[in-house]
Amino acid sequence: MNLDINFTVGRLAIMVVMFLSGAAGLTLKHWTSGFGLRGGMRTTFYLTRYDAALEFYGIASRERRERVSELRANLADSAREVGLARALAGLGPPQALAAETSAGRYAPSWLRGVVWTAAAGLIWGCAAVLSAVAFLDGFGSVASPGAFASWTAWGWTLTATAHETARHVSSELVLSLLWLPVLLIPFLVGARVWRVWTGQRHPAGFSV
Amino acid sequence: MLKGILGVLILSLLAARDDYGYALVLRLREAGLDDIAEGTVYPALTRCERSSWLRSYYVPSPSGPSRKYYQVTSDGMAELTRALQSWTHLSRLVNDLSSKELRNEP
Repeated sequence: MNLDINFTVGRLAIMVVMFLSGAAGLTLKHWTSGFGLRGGMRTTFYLTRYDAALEFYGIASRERRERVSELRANLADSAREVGLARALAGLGPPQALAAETSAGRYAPSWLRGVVWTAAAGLIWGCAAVLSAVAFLDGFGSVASPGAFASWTAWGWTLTATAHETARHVSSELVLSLLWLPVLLIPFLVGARVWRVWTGQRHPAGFSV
Repeated sequence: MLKGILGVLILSLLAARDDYGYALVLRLREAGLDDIAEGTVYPALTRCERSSWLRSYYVPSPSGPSRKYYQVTSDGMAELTRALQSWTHLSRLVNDLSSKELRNEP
């Protein structure tokens, strides 16, 4: 496989921009109108942290949307009556509220597993490509025509050959099975897969 | 102790009239729980709903996002009856014991 460095770096840049846009979108989805700019930011910040904490406990995305939407409506009512600062204070820290809301439930979060996997893949890919660029650059600058070099790191084996036409270097890339744990471990840890066996506890009724 | 009985109070209030989260907080405060925080009531509502003691529906609000109203289910009524019997028994026991102890004091 021939490695086109400019194309690969450009594609990576697009992936990074998409990732950052997604993160910004995730934050802005909780934007709450009617509180002014400062109040809107405070509310958005609170609801985003509440959503993230619910996600930590493995609450499914549909239920999370409902809980956040309900909290936003209640917050709007209480803020109108006592002011936003007191309304937020009455809720307590978002992490504690989420812990109480999800009491007795610690479910795996498959979505977070996917996000962790994507992040690990992105970091791994960036590190590998940057290392490959450095290797090819170094090889290209010192290799005489016909020279050959092989380099292995990050689970990739890169083989470069310098051609007769001095500066032209062709390369071949082989991926090892290292990608499997690199992607699988973040998925299992991110999803907290052990909660499948340990996490479900439901309260049976009121205890007076 | 309040955490244990809060669900019973919520079911009692909702058995009388369907309501949404913040309105329930206000009703609890009017009933005498002056210091009760929203952060205590909302999770209790969620727990009741998750246990199928409450069902919910949305009503558009003229002043903001739609409000989520709660209604007691038949399971909720059964749980309320059971919990109130349990509370009555406990309350009688505490009264009896404490009055006996007071009488025996020198």
